Amino acid sequence: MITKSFTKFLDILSALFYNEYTLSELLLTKLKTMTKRMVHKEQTRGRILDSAYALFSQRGFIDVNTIDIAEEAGISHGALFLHFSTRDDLVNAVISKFGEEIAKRTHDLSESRSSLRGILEAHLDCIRENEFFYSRLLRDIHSLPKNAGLQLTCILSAVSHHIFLAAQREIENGNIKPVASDLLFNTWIGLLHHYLMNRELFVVSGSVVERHGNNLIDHFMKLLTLKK
Amino acid sequence: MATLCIACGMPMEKAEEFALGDRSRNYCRFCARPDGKMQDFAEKLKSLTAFIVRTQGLTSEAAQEAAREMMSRLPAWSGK
Repeated sequence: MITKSFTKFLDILSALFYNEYTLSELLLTKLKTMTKRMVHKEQTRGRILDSAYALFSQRGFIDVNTIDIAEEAGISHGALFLHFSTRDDLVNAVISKFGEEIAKRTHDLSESRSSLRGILEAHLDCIRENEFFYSRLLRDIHSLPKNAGLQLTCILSAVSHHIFLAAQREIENGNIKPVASDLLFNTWIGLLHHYLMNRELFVVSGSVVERHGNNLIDHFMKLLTLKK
Repeated sequence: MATLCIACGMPMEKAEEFALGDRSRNYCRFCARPDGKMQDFAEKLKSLTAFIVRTQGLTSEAAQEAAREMMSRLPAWSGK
């Protein structure tokens, strides 16, 4: 009797453990599948952003449509809209990603270079890495959704902040003339953007920054430097 | 590896870049009040607007619009 009850107890126990084991296995499998799906989704999203970035850099923002981007990313046109509900959403996401990278790169490079010239060189390094995309963005900005222009404004403020921090140190040390932060930045960015937006007037092919960057920095520094 | 401030997006790496120099906080020193608490939406909008005006000389209306757009993309202000 006792043996019978004990056997029954063991049966129940093993069924319970078996179920628990099965349950945890099922959960684990489900979790793994979900994680795989999330990773896959994130990878596809990244591929779409990279493809859009590459095509916008080559052909500008206006001439590239979502069919081109989907094709470049190796997905169906419909699948693209699972990640971005409209083309404007995609454009904003590409600019946002670019802005984050520029902010981070400028921040990192500013850490290692403290002089105004050093920061300007760091800024040009960042631009050179994204020169074709950035030039296209500047040219097409007024045809893009308003958010794109607002994002660009925020990116520029972050850059201006780093440039002025360096300039301030040089003003305090008596190396350069005292200049207001907004005008200092607008003078630099006006000069640089003119070369980028009209690139075909300044280079036959290749990088404007590489060809003219050092001259622009020399000229800008000459305007600011105090004669001793 | 820098983390981004949830309230303004600034990359933070060094301890002094975090609020109160505390690496466990997810917002930067510029987004903290003197007591270390994170600024609220109105305070951040005001300080970001002033930052954009100072750095680029825009009108406060244009600067505020850009600040709102920037904040809408940051985790601390999503949905506001």
